Amino acid sequence: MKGLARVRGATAMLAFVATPALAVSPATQATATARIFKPLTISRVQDLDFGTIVLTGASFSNEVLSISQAGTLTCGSNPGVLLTCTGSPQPAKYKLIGTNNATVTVSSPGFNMTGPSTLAFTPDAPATVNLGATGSTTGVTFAIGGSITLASTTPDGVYTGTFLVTADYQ
Amino acid sequence: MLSLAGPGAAATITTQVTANNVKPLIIAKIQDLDLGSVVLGPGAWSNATVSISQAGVLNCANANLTCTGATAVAQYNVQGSKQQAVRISAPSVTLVNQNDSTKTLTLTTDAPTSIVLANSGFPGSNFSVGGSVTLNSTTAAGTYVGTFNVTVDY
Repeated sequence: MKGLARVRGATAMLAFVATPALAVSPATQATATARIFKPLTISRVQDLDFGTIVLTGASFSNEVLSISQAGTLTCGSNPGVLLTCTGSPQPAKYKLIGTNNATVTVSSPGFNMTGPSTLAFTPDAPATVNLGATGSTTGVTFAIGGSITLASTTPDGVYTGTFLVTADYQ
Repeated sequence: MLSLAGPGAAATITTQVTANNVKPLIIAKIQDLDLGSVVLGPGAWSNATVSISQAGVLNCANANLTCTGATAVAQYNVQGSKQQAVRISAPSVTLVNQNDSTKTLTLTTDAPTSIVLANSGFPGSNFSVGGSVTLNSTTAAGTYVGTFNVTVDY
């Protein structure tokens, strides 16, 4: 019986050692993240128009004609004296449709307006646009203004140019 | 070893028992997994996969997907006994859309089945967990987040 008891004891010890160790978890698990965006579309809503500018001053240079994103025209440093602005100026407008509440970066590089001569156009665009709560349905419209520099020697005529606007998710 | 004697004599039986003493395992998170940003292409399509390997290589080779942003694999550190093999369990992770909890994605994990600890105790050994998700044109936009349930044992 003693021998039997010893055998039983040994068997019990073996069974104890053979028990698998418990799995160990970290105090804090890693997380996994993926950000999914719907396709982003951009479309033109309206063109930018400076209106009509009369070079009134006899001799001047570096007069900046600008229109803000909000559509406010600044007709040089001395409106009505050096430059006289008329017509219906308006900024360019674009519509973005994509993911609700996503923030989009806007790129609008400068370009040359061509006509009787060349005028360098400097855009005034928002760096980013948030698409808001209805970004996937109605989207959001944003405006781009800009500026040109005129002189009394600028050849008169109609100047036009084309924006190269792009947008991308942040 | 077994010793036997005649009738009336005490019988003795001995059995050798081997115990493998090991240090308790410790596991800690080092960093989270991030698949970056994925822009879904237009039109109707399905079964586009974006994945990140254990080595941290992003695979977004699908015409319907555009992947941007920084990416990262999950990483853990394990400490225990030197030269001991440690089994790793990393089940799939459910990623939940943070704007709509009814929308989920399943991250199929890519983890080593085991590693051998390079040293005893500190600093232990690191391992990475990658994974993949399958996207469709109907996948809801938003930020999807889930939590791993990684465990280790000897």
